[in-house]
Amino acid sequence: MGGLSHYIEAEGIATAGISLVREHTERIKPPRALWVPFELGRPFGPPDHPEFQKDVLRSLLSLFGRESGPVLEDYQHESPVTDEADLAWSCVLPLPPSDAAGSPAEALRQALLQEAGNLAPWYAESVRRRGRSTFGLSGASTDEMDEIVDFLARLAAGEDPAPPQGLTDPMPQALRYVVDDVKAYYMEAANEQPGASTPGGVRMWRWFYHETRMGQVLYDIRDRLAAEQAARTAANGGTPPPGPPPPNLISARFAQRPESSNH
Amino acid sequence: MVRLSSLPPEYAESLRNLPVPDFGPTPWVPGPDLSTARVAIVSTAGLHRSTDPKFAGGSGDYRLLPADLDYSDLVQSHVSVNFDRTGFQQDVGVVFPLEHLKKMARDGEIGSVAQWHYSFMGATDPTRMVDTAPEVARLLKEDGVTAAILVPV
Repeated sequence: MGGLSHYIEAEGIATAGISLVREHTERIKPPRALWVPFELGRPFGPPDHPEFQKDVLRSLLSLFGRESGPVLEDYQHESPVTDEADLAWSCVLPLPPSDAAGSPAEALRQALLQEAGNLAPWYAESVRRRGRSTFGLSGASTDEMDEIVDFLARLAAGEDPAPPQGLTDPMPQALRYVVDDVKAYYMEAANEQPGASTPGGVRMWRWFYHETRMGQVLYDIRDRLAAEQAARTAANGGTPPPGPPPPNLISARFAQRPESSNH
Repeated sequence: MVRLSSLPPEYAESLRNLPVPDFGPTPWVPGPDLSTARVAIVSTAGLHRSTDPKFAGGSGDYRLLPADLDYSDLVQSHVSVNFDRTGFQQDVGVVFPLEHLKKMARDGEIGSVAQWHYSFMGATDPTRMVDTAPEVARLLKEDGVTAAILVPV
């Protein structure tokens, strides 16, 4: 981001940028930067806190009043979504227990369909209330959720199912986009649950990766793709084969499976 | 929190060791008086309208976002697994504060809001924007923009 500031300011437009990783901004030295202490993905702080977001924005805009630079200031307030609020959050939506370690592939597939189905009304309510959804990058629609779930369950089980009809990109990029859509579906539904405060992203990741069957399925797919890539690399004399590497489906923070689902 | 100490050690280390190009001396344009400033957003969140081409990883091109953007048509093809997406899912203002800027313009805190805003891909070597960023700067000038806020994700 700081590099972009250099290029645009050099053309005669005054710039001020949000800094997410202070150590990078210190080295790049853009003209004006405001470092914020929020998690990656939330440059203006938490959702549904408009006054807080506007305060960040005003602090950023105030940097245009400086007479010389480079300027790197720290935003002085922490996010109002605290670690304590995160710890207090839990998903109350009724999902089948995620204890399918070692269960037959068909049982897992059925449980996954039930899980996604249980989330459907909450996802629909989220779309109704917010008037938007971030689902759709893959080209598929939520009408195809059963097909998508079936595809992912079979992939996790070691089968080679045909991709769902609606996907607009070739594999493996399509897999990355459709998994992103599934995450949007789950998380938008979970954030619509009654009576809950909005958690931070890390808490939501923990729920998705460690507490849902879909999370377990994504670990299974990741491990399958990694094993296949390793086998192809070995067969290629130790050099990775041509083409893109397997798509990364799991956040680095949650690279480890939950202990209960190791299998 | 984006404090490297709060991230998983391996991820923090990869961020800490990320090569950073040398951009040379910091350019400086005197900032405008906010009450008359025309403000635009330049995002690196990989945002675009659903009808636009998706961003390819590491690409230096950009997409246009109009001031009358239909938020139900806004998607994000920056699909890194290592930043929170739930904030943007719930509230566009977390990453793209266009409505806040419009309110500030109505209240006289800033002069006006640009007609066009711009979006690049995140997690991209900025040197790949060496040609496209000046192009965006020229478009900003044509729009009368005097202050650009740059927003990563």
